[in-house]
Amino acid sequence: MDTKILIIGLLAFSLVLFGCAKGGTASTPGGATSGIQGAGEQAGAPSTSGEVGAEGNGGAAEPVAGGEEPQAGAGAETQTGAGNGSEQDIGGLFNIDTVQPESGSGYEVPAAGE
Amino acid sequence: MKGLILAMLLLAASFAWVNPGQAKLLQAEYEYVACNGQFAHDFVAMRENCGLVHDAPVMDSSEYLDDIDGALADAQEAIDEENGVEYGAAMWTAKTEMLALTLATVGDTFRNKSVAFHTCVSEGTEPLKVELEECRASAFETGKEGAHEYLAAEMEQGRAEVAELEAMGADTAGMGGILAYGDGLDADIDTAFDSHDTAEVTKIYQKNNRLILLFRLEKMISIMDFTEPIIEAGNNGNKEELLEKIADLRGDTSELADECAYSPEVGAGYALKNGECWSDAFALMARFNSLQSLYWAGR
Repeated sequence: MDTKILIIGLLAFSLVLFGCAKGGTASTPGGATSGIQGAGEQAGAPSTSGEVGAEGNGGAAEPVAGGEEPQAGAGAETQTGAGNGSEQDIGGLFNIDTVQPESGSGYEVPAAGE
Repeated sequence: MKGLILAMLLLAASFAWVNPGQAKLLQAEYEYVACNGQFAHDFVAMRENCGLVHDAPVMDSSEYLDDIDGALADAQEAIDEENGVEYGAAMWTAKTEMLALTLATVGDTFRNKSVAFHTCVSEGTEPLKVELEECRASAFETGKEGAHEYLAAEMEQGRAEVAELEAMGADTAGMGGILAYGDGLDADIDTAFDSHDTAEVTKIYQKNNRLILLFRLEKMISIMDFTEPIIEAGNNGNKEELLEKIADLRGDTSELADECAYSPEVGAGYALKNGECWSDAFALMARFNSLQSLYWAGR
């Protein structure tokens, strides 16, 4: 594999992990992705801080420069809450935890001889 | 290049949130099973002593006890490593080994034993049972604390997820409704653990299990409702496919949420229903998570 691609990949991975740790939820990788793309594709995209329009989030959101997808919920911020002006791609929201909770299996173990 | 980043993203997404209260919850279960393990040791020793006193041949239980000890050691290791899967496997092994020892002991009871031997075992068992119940009582106390902490962490996480989506402008009413049920569950914990009845404790787990499932389904619905108009107004390359999949998944998710509606009363078949609900939900969750790659592929 090309070394350059590997380095860029690892850098992207680190940013994603950083995003997860900062947000503390399973649904934050999208936030990190915004950071990755913000350095490239979305550079210069207008800030969309503000209230979500009554006519709908899509309508309220401003399109990213270059004809990109409108951002999720104007002013949306999944890392630290709304208000700092950073944007959130909705793609990162499609991420649900698939790990089942504890089942209490220990209490199913009987005592031999009881 | 795009594919590599996508792969990294999906890999990162696989790191699920781990409840900080999990270790204590599992430790309490471990303590309960350790009580049972100690009882098995004491019972075997007492029974062997009765055999010596009354000149009755008693089976060799050392292998069974070694296997039980091994399972307990594996469980403790899994707790230390926060490995829920390994923990579950160790508990399954402990359960089967306990049952195996019980069956072997029952079989041995009918092999050349005198009335005096049976009387000795019967009388010797009573004080051991008292010790067992005392030990279990302590474990239930730990379990009660652990359950409160586990649920509190879960609720905190849930509220954070609600707040996150609300800040974006999503409708989180469904998620909020499940959190309200969570508050009710917290109020049931003390009664269940104080009863020292594993059936009652298990009901708490089963209800929690259902609530987590429903919370995730409601979260998926909330996100789909929120993102659908955004995607519709945008120009994602996979827009049509995304919208079609979201519409299908939205309907299926809502249907499953209705089918698996929460009930604070746990009757027969509740656990089985949980299993069916999770089985169906896993398929929906996989479809939901696959939307992410489809979304990014269209960017």
